[in-house]
Amino acid sequence: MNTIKNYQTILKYMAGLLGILSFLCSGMHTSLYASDPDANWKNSILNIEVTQDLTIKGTVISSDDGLPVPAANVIVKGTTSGTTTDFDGNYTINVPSENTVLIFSSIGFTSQEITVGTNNTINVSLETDVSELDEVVVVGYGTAKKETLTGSIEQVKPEVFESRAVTNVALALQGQSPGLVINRSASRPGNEDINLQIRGATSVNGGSPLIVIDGAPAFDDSEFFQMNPDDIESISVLKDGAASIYGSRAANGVILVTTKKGRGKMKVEFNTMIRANFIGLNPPVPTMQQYGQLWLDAAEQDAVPNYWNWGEETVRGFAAGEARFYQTLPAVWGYDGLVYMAPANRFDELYGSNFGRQNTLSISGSSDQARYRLSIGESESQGALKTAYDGIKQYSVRLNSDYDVTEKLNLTANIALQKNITSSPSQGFGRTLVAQDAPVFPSKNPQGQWYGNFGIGGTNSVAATSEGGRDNLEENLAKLTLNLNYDIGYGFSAMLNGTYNHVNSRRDVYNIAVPTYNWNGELVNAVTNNPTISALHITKSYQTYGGFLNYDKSFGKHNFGVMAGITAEKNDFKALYGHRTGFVDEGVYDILVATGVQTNGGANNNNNRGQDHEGLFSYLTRINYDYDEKYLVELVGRRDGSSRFAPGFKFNNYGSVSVGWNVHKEKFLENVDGLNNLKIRASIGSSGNQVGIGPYDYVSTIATGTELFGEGGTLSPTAWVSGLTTTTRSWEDVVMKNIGIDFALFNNKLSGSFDTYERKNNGMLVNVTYPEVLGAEAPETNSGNLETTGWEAVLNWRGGKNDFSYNIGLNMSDSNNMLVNLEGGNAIQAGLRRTVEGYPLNSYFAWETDGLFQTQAEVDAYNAQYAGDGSEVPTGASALRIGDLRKVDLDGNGVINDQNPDAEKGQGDVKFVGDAQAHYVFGINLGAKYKGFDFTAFFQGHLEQTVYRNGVLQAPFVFPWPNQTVAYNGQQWTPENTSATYPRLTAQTGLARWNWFETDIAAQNSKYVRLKTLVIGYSLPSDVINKLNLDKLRIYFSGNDLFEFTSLIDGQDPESGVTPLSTDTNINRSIYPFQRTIAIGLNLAF
Amino acid sequence: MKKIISLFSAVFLLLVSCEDTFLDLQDLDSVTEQVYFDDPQNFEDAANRFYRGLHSPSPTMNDGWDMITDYGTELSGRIQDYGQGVNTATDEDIYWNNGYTYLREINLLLQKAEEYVADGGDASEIRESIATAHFFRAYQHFRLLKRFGGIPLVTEVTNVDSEILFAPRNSRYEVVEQVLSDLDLAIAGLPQTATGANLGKISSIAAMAYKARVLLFEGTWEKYVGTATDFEGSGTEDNSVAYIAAAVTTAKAVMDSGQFAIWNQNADPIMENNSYRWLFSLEGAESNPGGYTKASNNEFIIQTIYDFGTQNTINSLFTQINFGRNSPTQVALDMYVSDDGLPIDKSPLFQGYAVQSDQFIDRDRRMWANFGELVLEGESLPILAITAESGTNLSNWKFTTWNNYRVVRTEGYNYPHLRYAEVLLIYAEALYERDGSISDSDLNISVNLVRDRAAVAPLTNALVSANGLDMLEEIRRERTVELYMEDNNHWNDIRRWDTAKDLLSDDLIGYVIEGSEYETDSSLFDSSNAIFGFKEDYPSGVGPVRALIIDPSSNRPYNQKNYLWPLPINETVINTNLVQNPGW
Repeated sequence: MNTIKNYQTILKYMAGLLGILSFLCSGMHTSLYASDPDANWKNSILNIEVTQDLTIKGTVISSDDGLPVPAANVIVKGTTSGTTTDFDGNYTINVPSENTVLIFSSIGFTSQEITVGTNNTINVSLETDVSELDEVVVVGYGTAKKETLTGSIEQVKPEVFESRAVTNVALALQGQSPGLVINRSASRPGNEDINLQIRGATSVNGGSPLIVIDGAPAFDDSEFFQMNPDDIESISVLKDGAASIYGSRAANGVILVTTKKGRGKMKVEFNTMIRANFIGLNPPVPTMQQYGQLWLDAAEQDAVPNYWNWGEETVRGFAAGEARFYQTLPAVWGYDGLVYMAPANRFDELYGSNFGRQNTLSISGSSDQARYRLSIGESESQGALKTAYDGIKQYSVRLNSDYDVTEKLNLTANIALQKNITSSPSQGFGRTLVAQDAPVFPSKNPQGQWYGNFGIGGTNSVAATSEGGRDNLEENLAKLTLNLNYDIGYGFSAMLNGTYNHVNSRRDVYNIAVPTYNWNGELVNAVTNNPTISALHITKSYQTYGGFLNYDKSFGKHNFGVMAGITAEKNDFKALYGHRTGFVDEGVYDILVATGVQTNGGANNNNNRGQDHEGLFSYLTRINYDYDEKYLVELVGRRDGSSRFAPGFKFNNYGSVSVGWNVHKEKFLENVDGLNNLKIRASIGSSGNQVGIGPYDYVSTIATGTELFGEGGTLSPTAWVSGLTTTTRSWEDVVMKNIGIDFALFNNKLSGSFDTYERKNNGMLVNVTYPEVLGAEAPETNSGNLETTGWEAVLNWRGGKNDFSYNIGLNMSDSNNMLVNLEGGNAIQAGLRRTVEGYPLNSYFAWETDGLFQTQAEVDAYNAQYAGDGSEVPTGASALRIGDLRKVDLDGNGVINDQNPDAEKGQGDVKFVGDAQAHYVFGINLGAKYKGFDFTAFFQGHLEQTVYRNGVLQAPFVFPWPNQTVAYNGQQWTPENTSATYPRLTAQTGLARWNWFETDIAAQNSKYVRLKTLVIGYSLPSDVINKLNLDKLRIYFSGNDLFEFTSLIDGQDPESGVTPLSTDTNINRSIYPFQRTIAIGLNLAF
Repeated sequence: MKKIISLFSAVFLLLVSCEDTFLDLQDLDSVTEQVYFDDPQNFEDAANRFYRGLHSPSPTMNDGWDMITDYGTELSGRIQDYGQGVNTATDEDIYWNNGYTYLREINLLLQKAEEYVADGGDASEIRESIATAHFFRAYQHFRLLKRFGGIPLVTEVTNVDSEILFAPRNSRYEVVEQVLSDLDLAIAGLPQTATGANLGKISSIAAMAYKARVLLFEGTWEKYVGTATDFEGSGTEDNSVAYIAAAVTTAKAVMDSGQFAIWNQNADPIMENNSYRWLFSLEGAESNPGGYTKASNNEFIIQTIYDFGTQNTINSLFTQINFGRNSPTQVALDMYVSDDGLPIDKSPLFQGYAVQSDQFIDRDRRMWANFGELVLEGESLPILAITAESGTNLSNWKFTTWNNYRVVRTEGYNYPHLRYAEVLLIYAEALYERDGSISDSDLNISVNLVRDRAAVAPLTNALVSANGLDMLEEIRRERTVELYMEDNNHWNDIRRWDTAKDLLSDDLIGYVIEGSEYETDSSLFDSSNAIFGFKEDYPSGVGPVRALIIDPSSNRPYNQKNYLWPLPINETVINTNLVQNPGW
């Protein structure tokens, strides 16, 4: 079955290749014309009025290594017209006269101006200038030269997305920009559960960075995540007061995405990649033998052995790996407690390797007046599930074009279409996957029917995922962007912009009753007894409008820039949800097929709301001034109004002031050799966070439901007022202070920056804790304070000689937050506490322990001292023994208890052990080039994160009924291994919990470094590709998440942080194995 | 050029002028509080909402089942920390929180009703909804009383600035007065009956039956427990005489209404005197051997309606978990009298303990109905290792469906919160508590109707005196076996009788060992499993014998302080006016 599937995948891929080949052929056909130097007819159609007398040709090379510089700009000075060099550094340009001055520039090189003169051939050798000071950086509502930036803005280059074996843009960004921390809790394509954070937490209410794509806020994170990575020109990360220009949504920072535009002669690029995923980390689930042995080992250590409902004989059978009928204790299992059990490795049955692919094709180019780029992307990624398809397919089309209507008026029109199809099994995830049942139930009985676990059925994850129905989500995104830019003259320009974003999504979920049978083939139960089907259709639209006036003027050494604008946005949401019972699988999966009653799908479905809308209206301005690019000042102001607040409370103001000093431009440093850049920056800015405020929270609404009455059982309507409200609440007000320094030394070979910041959320929306007599959740009010401090450092080295060049980049950041005020706060208890005043968000409090009992005398003394009234010291069958953990009476009150009503925060013998946030997050970039070879390795990791597991697999026998972890095998105390860190095995639940639940030894300090990316490429030399009539041909190998060093000992993915081991049915947090990916790919340009 | 400038200016102006288009947006899919409650139907809908506050097997707001079962008592092998008396004060208490959440909704309806009438609405149109609100205000306050004793009474809509948030506790006496006065308003305003389409709603008689329960509870609590559990500053009062007397008349009024009857189909031979067994899983004709349906039942006075057809089923593991965990102790088994109406230590019919199934011979049919599922004729089931989860080797059978009629979670039988049998038992108990005696004729219209269904000889003064029985003890026994596992009755009973402090601090007994197969057959019982040892003089049906302890008294410091739960710590921290219960 599986081989057939693999063949199918290969066939699909072959078909895809054929299609691409035919695409290529047609493209080559075009390129024949495009590469014909006499084929000027094409240009003349597009060029309307400019007369071009001279044709200049030439090659641009790098003075450093003599290699051609591709994609260098060749621009006619004083105009916007120009061209770019091809892959060999060749260019052709028509110029009006011999007096024309051409500007040659490229990122990483000093630009040169050359007057045309009489030469028809101008070859240019550009000096390398790896200082990126001239680089233009995208900032909020505009661009700025890096040299004159005053804010903490990090620009990520498109290379980051190239040749990567991931399709999710966010995953490619991981570790690339210090301060931008990207977490995913699962490596399940389409269901990664990604969380972005810039500079740590801003609020107890969460919140993630605002993402702006080509000037308009992204509709939702998914619009960004699912973008075709090949479309991204650059990404700017706004971290400090520079973000204030985005006002009420900027408190978590802003990510600005700019898509690629066409430039130069027509160019066709084609990239293809095929990927294979394989399982990287095995969660610590046992085989049947290991499972049985664990019980036996525990029994050996226990005074009173406990074999749960299995009984000793059964457990011995497990350990011996015997496949047979077993007698278990509850007579309701199987036949009077007789259940057939055999080695059944659920994990291997469920997971394996899968293939994926990604193809992109783009056609881009420009004439003097118009630029265009059309790109098409297609990809498919699959998770590790073997029993059924679990993956995502993405398709995208983007057309970016702009046109100079007149010399002064430019019209931009961008259209983007995206389609994502995510498809997964609808049942069998959650803890039933592998965490719940012991590995002793074969998935099928000898008759080939699904075998019901325990001989009584109901769960069987292989059956449930294979045949239990599907969860299909199809999203269609369409976005239109229009810009009109007018150069008024005298330094003034005006811009109008509008975007319209439309999202249609439909989610069909159906559950099928998969019958399960006992070993003898009798029907026992079904995976669900209540098959249902539901359909959720959501239509969302998002429109933004903006009008801006710019003024840029220099008076001598005084440079001014002023921008003022108005923006307006409106979000409309409409959803229709249907849920019907009585679904029978007839091969047709529409809600109309179900015969049962229509219900609202249960109270857990928050998506079945009807419709809403909300709007934002803002005034904004920015003033830049610099003196000789030496002393820099920027002022930002913004006034935001939102429909989410009551009349009178709708508006709020934001702003920032930032200054910079280019010290290296000072006279006294002018002659310091090797110092290329030294800049000091400082900023203070305010911004808002609106997470946690619903569209109409300021009014109480009536919620409705049903209740059953009557002899026949009829539903009667119910109604209630949903909660308490307040009208006076507003945005959270966040003030960010930043000081930073940038430097470059040794001819820009060494460069770096360091930033330190402090962020205060002064109006954090919190639920003030009232007595529960209130009987309702108190409305959140702007009463909390959260302070975050942190730093970021970047260090880059670039070097090389002759054909060899290399670069090393390091970045690291850390942030720490503290909940200063929460109006009451929560009491401290053992475990993860999301909010405790005086502590970071998501702090862990653990029992302090002091080693293991090594003698009975120690145990006796301990019991005598602490096993009193109100103490949690276990007694009876769970009484303490040698090898158990000794908890410390931290508060000295004579009992062991995690609560102490007399303590200030009610805490007993527990202490703070750390927070759930990752600390000292770093990235290491290594790159090298030698002739046609290129090499990139990117490592990413963190040095500190407190991880404490929850749920059924956290430690042996804290729950007796489910599967058990073997992560601690061999590391626990035994009479032979008395120096072990971990306590002895015990199958007495009370004791196991004493030893493991929220104890400091159970908290792990996660450190890891992971090879996120490895790319090795080879580009064919120019003489070969010239013969092939190509611009570029590169093949590469790419790997993702290839290996890691981690301090976690329980075999979980260190990136998933605190992921509890299946405490709930949230599928993304269930045990889904971590995958590694390898890929081979091809880049082709002509 | 001009065109362009005018275009730009026009667009700018347009943008500025339409601020409200973006900011002044109204809710599109919900009705707001301001416009609701202008129609009697709105009040009825809001009152319907209160029914989810009845504690049923489908927990709302995370309430647990321990509030409707006998977990943790001396009858149950399911050991609970609050039954052992080792529980400690917690930060939060879900029952505290939920009680006040329900109360806020109830008070809101009453406030809206006042506004409705003040605005010229017709009070009579919303009378029933108001009375329903009063019933539930009583129900929720009483529930808080049972758990915590005196609590802050809430009779107004609370807000963040309400003084009541930081008020001291009301004494239990004030709470009971409020509960009774709310019940009187409910009785006055509710319709006499709730049948047909209204089945499941509270009727006037139902509110009266509930009032009888409250009166007996509080009357006997004040009589036996007195002020021992009152928090400091409660004041003292003793209304026990008046409450007990009122319990008699209130119960009698319910009986005299003639609306309800014991569901006894024992005349039908196919029922084999097992009507009690089928009552708690009564659904369609296939749910019992006699082919009876829900429609035949008019014993349930307050009940939650479930329905399989419309998939409004129990939806929880209630029956499975009760079956798996709530196994009977030896004390629970020994409670049931023999068919002759005599306790087993007095009855010649009792067959002893030699084989486990012997105990079931000639016993009260309710014993089989509640625990008979696993019993194999002529056999003893093996004794399991002792854990807090598994208890003993028998299981609770009450509320489980018959013959796999329904899969767990899909049971659609109606669930009783208060049924007629309890009213009869209230009547008998209150009468005896009031007079110190009860006539045979009063026994015949009360206790003996219930005993008749269990195929047990009637309780008579003659039987009592001839066999040296205690009438009160026999009436209490009747309650214990009849109302087993229902709405926390036994928990409330042993506290108000002040017997819990003795019953629960004693060794918990799993099995009689002496003289049984367990003594001789090591495949049935491995004595090394007796980790807590044996009680040598367990007063069994055959006299003092050795019995297996499944939780020793040393684990069970249960005492009178445990009659009430501690107030949640968070509450006493925030509201320093709240005095903690004594001993906590």
